Amino acid sequence: MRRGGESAEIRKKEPGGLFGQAAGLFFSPAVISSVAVGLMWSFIFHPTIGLLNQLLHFAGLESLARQWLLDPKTALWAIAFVTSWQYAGYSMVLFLAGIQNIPPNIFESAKIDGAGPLAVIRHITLPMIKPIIKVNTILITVGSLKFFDLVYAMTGGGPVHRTEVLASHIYTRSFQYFEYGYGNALSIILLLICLLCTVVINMAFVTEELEY
Amino acid sequence: MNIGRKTDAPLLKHALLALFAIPYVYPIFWLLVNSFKTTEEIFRDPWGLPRQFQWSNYPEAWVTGKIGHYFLNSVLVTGGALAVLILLASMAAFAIARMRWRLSGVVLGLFTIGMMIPIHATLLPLFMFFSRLSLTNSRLALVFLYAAFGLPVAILILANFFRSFPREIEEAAAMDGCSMAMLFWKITLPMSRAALFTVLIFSFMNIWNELLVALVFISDVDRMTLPVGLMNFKGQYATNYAPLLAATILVIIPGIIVYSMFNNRIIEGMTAGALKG
Repeated sequence: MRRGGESAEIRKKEPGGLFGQAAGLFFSPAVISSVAVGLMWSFIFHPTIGLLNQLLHFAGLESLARQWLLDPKTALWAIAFVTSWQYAGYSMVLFLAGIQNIPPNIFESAKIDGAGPLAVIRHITLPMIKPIIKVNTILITVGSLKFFDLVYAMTGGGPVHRTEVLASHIYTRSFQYFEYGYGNALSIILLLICLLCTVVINMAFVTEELEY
Repeated sequence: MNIGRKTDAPLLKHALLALFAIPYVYPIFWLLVNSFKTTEEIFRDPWGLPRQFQWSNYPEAWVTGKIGHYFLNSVLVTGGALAVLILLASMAAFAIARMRWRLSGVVLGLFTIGMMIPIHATLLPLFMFFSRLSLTNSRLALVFLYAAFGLPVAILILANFFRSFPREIEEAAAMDGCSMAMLFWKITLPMSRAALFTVLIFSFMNIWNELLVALVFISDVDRMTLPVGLMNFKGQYATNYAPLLAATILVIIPGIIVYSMFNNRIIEGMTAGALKG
């Protein structure tokens, strides 16, 4: 729950203060085109001029340097990292909105009853933002199932299909090999998986309506 | 809201936030600095400041690399789609929320189902359908597709908003001889500026950055939108990094500028869109 913790910190300041601006900064990659984000990170992962390998070189860890996007072992993780970088701020802002909706008097009475900061997070904040946790889980799951842009911009599905995702597979098979029947079957599978995931997550997060 | 004030160490928190901020600020800064070098200098010295500013990378990306052209296409497609989307969504939402007819609930339900269908799953059937109409490879196709895919969320947000209006306003207007159309244009729409703005921002962000649909439907270089165009640019300038960096900056910067002007409204709009969707 690192992200939840981060936004819990931000709650304590008025929006527009330093913490509000930080939230604005973390959110900013979500409004940039994924293609541009992908190209930017391709340069960071670049084997010779890339920031990452240069940093490792600088720290004397040459043995860890590699061709991040061309190595079948690391390519998918590199893309996963960039997605987290791009959308962590979005999830954070959703949590922030949920936490700010909790009435302050609940926190005050908990404090009067002697609850420590950890107890407050565990027994008040987390249960109260359960609906937001659900929304975030659904958004991230469905978003990952529909994932395409960064894969297309950074690796094109390679090396040797190690970073192929459902959407990129649909795209390649339907619109580059023109296998329409196969493409349609894949589309149906994607649709069913998306619906199934949404239903399962909704059932896993059944919440009683809170009155406050 | 002073939970745990005793254990607070503001300095530590600020340091932590600063640490988190580095991976968000530095890559863009690095990109910007290197976009003013020659490709050869990028390879020789990727960290330092440019010895001599190569402004020429930018005109090359904008004109020769056609980024300016792609930008204009994106403006046309996004503008057209938003106009169609806002008009249709507000009229549909008005009919669903403010008029009494038997199927209004069913229609809202249909749009809500539409929200759960991922655009990728409908791509192939839509492509075949548009081929029959000879509408592939045209910006008009994108306008219609984007408008259609934006409808569900837009209708839901607007219908929720319209429902909150008191009936008395409409009754008073009707008493004064206001027709249904005038009621919509002169009263409902001006009262919903905030909700319309939310829908506009949320849809704009989705449409402006959309890649897959544009990639499938547009193959002619002259009609490509910005994300597709940038990929095309990457194909042409694969090893010529300096103009490629400049092109990436040109795509990122307008987004950052718009974002810094309206960041609170954008965050608000995108959160509302996600929470209701």
